Amino acid sequence: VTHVIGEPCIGKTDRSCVAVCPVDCIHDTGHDMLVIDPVECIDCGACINECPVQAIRPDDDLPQEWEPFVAINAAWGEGHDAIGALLQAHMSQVP
Amino acid sequence: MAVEVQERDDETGVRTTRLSQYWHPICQASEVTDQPKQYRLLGEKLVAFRTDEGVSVFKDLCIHRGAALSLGWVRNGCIVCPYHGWEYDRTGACVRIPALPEGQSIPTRARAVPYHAEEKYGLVWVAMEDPVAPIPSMPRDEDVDPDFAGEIFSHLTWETSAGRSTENSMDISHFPFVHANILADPEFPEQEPYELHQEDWGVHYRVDNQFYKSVDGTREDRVSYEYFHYFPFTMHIRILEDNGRVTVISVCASPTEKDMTNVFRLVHRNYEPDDPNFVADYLYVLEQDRRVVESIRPEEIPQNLKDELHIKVPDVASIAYRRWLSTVDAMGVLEP
Repeated sequence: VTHVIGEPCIGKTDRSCVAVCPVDCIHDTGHDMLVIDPVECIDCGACINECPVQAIRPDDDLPQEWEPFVAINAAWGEGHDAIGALLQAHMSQVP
Repeated sequence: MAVEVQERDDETGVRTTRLSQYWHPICQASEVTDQPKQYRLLGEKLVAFRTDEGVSVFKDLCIHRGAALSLGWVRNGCIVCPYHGWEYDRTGACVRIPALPEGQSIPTRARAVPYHAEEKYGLVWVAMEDPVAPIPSMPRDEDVDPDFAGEIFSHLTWETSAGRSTENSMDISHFPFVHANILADPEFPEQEPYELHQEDWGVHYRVDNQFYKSVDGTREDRVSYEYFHYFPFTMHIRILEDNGRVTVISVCASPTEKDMTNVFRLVHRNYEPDDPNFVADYLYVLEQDRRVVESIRPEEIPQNLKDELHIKVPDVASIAYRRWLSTVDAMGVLEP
C-alpha cells in the first residue's frame, strides 16, 4: 500500500499535507499538482485528513477514475517532465 | 551462540556495514585487571585482561579445545589458557604450548582472536572488526570543566535491543507520560517542532524551554536539551540552564545480545555539583523508562519504517536514525 494524490489536487496544491508528512515524500511537480513518491511513502496516512479537497487516498481504495494517478505519482522518480507528459495524456482523455 | 550472519549487499546500498564494525563499550576500564574476565558483545563471549601494555580483548575461546580463556590468568604479559596452559601474547599469537616436546615449533594456526580495544571516557571500547567510525567524541569540550573529568554514574542492563534503548534516550515526547511532573508537565504535552541537523556521525538537534522538576519537588527549572546522537548507540544530552550551567549526560549503549543491552551513563558538568540527589533522581527516572522500554515488541527496531507509525513532530530524529539503522546488519559478526 502507498498513498496517491489524485485529480482534486490539480490547480489547488494546498500543501497542508507537505507540512505533516514525516518523511517529506510529497513533492511539487511544477505542473500545478503535488504527488507522493511511493518509494519514500511509509503509509502513515497523516496527509489524508489534512487535504481540504480530499485529494489523497490509499492505493487500495481508489475510485476507478483515479487509476492514471498511480502512475503519475510513481513518475516522481523519473522527473518533472515525465509527470507533465502523463498528466497531459490524462487530461487529453478527460471529457 | 554466534548470531547468524546475513550477507552484505553493497550493490543495492542496503546493509552496507555491520555493528561489529563500530566501537561499543563493554565495561568500565577500572574493572579490567590481570585477572581475565568474560564480557558479551553482539552475541559473542569476549575476554578482557590487562597487561603492562594496557587492555586486551579477545574472543573468549582457546583454539586448542575451546576452553574459555576468561578462566585463565595473565603471565609475562600473556593470557594463559586454564585447560592446557597455552599462552597467547597481546597480538593473539600463541607463544607457548607447555606440552610441546622440545624442538617442536608452535603451529602458526595457534592464535587467539584479538579485537580492537581502547580505553576512553573510563570505558573499554571494542570493535570486533576494523572500525568504520571513530569512538564517539564528546560534544563540546569547552563545556567540560577540567576539574570534572566526568564520571560514570550508572551501568544498567536492560532487556531490550540497543536500538530501542537509544531511541528512548533521543525521544522527548514520552516525558509527560513516563516522567510526569519530573521531566515534563502532563498538562502541556505538545512538542515544539525542532530542526534536525544530519552529520557524518549521526544527528544533532535542540529543544528549548523544557520543564524540569527534581524528584523531591524542591527544584524547578526551564532547560534546553541539545542532543548529539552518534550512530549507532552513543547519545550526548547537553542540558543548558538559564543560569549558564551545562550538564552533559552521555548515554553509551552496548548490544550484548539482540534483546539485551548494557547502558553506561557518564556525566560532565561545567560547575561544582551541589545537588547530592542528582544520581538518585536520575536512576529513579531511568527505572520509569525501563519498565516501558522493556515492554516494547518487537525488541528490535523494525528494519522497515512502514512497520510502525511515525508522526513528523516529534519523530523526525527517530526516522533519520531508523533510516540509518536499516543500512546496518543488526548483529552480524564475520568470523575472522
